[in-house]
Amino acid sequence: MNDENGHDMATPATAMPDSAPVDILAAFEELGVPSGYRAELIEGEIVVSPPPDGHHEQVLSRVTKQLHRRSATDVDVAGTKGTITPTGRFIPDLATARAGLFADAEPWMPADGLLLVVEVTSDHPNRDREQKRRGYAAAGIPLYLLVDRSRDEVVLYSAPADGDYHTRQQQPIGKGIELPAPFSFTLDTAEFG
Amino acid sequence: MRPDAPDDVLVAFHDIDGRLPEAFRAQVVDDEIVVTYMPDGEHEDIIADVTAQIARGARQRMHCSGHRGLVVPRGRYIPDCTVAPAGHFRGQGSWAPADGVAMVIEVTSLGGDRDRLQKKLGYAAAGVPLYLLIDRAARETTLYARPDDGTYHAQIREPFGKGLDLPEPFSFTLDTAEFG
Repeated sequence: MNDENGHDMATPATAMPDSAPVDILAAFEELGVPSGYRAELIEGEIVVSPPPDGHHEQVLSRVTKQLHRRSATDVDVAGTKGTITPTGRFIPDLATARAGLFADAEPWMPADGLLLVVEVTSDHPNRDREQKRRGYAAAGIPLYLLVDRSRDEVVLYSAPADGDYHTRQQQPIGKGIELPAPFSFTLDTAEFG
Repeated sequence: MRPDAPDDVLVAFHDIDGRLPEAFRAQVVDDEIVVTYMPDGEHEDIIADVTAQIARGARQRMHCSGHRGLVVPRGRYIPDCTVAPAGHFRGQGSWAPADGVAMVIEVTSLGGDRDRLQKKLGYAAAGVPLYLLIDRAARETTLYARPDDGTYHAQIREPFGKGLDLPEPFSFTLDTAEFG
């Protein structure tokens, strides 16, 4: 990441991906992966993950249902939307935007207009807790909901600025967690466990 | 955790690995395929420093390789440096079990948590007797030893600049002054 004078900014977490991007980005774009696998570019590395387990999908299905039924604003929900962030190319488990935004989006779209992204942890929870949190914050996505299955908790990150989220609300799985505007409802997590 | 997943992941891994350009390396770490690009110069300088010290200081004649594929439980790792008695690598294919390897070395880059957590467990599970982790972010060197039951039961940690004693079959003090 460079400042306006072209100088390398200090944070090591974001400094390197942009210093080696051309070759790894080209390799990433050309890399075909087997059906069901997803390839993401995360802080300068290509990460290919296998199809998730059924419980992972069930949690996402419960979140999706509530977003459609209870959100105060009509939103669209995407399960495999390629999202370009300053620290990589991520595929959030769920991406949410105002109805219609996805219609004209490229396969890899900038994060502008996304309202909320959701990740449900699998075998690599630190990736969702750390690298993806930083990337979504750097992209300015207003809300990041992390369903942390190994810690049995749900975390809502908000107020992104300067490459990280500055507000964090957390509830044990089972308790409701308040989603602010434009959703404005309490997400029920009782069936996440 | 999916006990049935690794075989599928390995098939996908070999497919991807076979198609990657030369400047990339693919590994399997905890059921994920990770593709990395060539490391930066400081990373290689540290490896070169350690390799030279092993060549000069080790009591037993050792060979170091930066291109060994190790088959470990739940993974296919390529350590930054694999150290084994001279001649050990001869006759091995691209991927080989870790038996007979004396020490593996990792120098952290971005994604250092993989070296600190996941790969440490993998090397311990494979029974690699010594794992030397050179952590550039924390500016310290850690030697993990006595693997048993999937974990290392001994460790020595020194900040960059302090010597670190390598046990048998190396039996010399590693100088870490040039690491960072």
